[in-house]
Amino acid sequence: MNIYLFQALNGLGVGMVYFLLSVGLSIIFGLLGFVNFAHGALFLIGAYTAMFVTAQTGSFLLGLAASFAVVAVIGVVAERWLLRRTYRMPHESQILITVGLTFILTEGVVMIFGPEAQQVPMPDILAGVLMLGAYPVPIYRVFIFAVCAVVGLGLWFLFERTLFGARVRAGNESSEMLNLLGIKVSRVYALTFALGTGLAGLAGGLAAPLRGADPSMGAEAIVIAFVVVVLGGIGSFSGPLVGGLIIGVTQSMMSAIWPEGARLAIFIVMAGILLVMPKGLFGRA
Amino acid sequence: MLEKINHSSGLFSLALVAFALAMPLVMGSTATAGVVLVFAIAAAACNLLLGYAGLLSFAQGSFFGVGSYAVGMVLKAAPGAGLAALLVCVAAGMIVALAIGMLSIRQRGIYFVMITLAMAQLAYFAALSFPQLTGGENGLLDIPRPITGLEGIMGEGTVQYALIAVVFVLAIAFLRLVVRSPFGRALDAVRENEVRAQTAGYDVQKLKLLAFCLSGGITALAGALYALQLRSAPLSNIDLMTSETILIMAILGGRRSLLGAAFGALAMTLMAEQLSHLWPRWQMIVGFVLIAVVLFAPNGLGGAWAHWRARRSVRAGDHA
Repeated sequence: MNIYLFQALNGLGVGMVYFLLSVGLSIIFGLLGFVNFAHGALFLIGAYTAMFVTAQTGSFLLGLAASFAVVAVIGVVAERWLLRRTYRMPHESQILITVGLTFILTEGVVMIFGPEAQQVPMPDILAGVLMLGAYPVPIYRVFIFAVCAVVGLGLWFLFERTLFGARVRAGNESSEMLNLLGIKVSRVYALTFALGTGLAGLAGGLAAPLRGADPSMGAEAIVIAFVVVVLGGIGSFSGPLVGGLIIGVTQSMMSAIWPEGARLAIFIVMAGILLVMPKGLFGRA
Repeated sequence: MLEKINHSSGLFSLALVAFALAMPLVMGSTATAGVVLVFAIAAAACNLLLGYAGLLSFAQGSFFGVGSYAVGMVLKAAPGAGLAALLVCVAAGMIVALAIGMLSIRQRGIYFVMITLAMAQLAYFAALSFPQLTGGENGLLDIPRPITGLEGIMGEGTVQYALIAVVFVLAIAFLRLVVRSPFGRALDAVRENEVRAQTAGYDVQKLKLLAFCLSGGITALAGALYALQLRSAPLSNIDLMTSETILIMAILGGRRSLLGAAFGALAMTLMAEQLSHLWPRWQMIVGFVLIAVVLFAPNGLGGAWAHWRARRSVRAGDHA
């Protein structure tokens, strides 16, 4: 097997993490029209939560569950106390307020866990490699891919096949009409917010063993999420999936070709795609 | 008072000069006063986009950083270039702004914001990936200061501050001319209602792009002055944090006030100076301040003051 093909396969794992991260941003924007700049800081909190809970309980799965739950709770609290006031404001104000929130959350994490980068051990059972021909594939990447695929399918089912999903999509079209039909819109909003932010936390928890946990990963994550969303479009499922995989695979392949420029490459790919397709991959109004 | 200053160009220039003269006394040294003026220029250029063109740009730090690197490269290659190096920086900033603007301005609203952020990150990683040009993580060190001809008359720190102060007054006066020109009025029209401006025959994209380039050039000038002040161009000049700092200063000062930008830069520098001594996590306070200003005083400190004055005079009128 070709080394580049191998790296591309490896990148699918990271790409799925990016998908999970961006789909949360996308779900929240789709329903609420709200741009959550603090999404990256929530990813950061997810990573530290997974690290902390795994270290305390010895169970990585519990750590992942906690990263989703803790961040979802933070998301709902922020929505109830602060962000709900901003729904009628212009997007610029929402972005600035969530930039402020990012400062608060990131500094809070540094206050508790310190500014140093920390290693997050992965469970022994996932630490090995599978041999794919002559190439070793880390089991953890396969695990990430599987978890994200299951979560993605679950989200698709939730939004396309359940009553809650129908309500969210209806709220997408007209929240006023939803209200008139006797549905508590604010509850739908809160649940959607919990889900979207929780996904950022889960993505952070999954990414932690790959790259460790450090306070700068929040800024990194929000930029990646924006790139994914710019490429794939916001408010859909397929957009973040395709965008996330493109970015993950690009990053992974470039780290074999030009390691110093691997992170530069994802932005060049984005700029290149925007140059040819100003409206992103799927176009939009 | 604020309105009077805003309406009379003489009073406005006087206020700028007074601000530049007062800063060394307020901050206690010409070095920190220079930092305030540098960021005042950058914040005012940010206001041109935010308050007049209606564009929230996260790429301001890229322009700032490009200016820093450009002045370093020019003066290290040709120490005799003098103040012409600053013109090179303005040109470099405008070119980078043109490139980023051409990709981002085709899109509106949040997509514009997200693309400027991503392109800013591109600039950051480009600076990191080509250490032979930029010094990589260390930045460009030992940048010589240009010869201004005042060296014999004043001390070096004073000369440096005088240079920054003169550029500060000129740059902000220039921005005032821009926002009051027909071009500035057209930007107002675009911000208020883009479709209407387009229907009225304005080339909206071109207007925005021109504003973006002007802002980029002036921000790069600020970055260049900052590099001269530090005698180096650190990598942190081009990172996301610089963009956020400039944006926060612009918001604090009031997005529609060029003079306010100077006070926003002063407030933020004072916070950084004073609070960082007291508490290493002082940026948390910046977060709270930013949220409070956007929620309760969307026109910034200057706007809040004008609002309070207006309410007071209305109340006084009722009693009379």
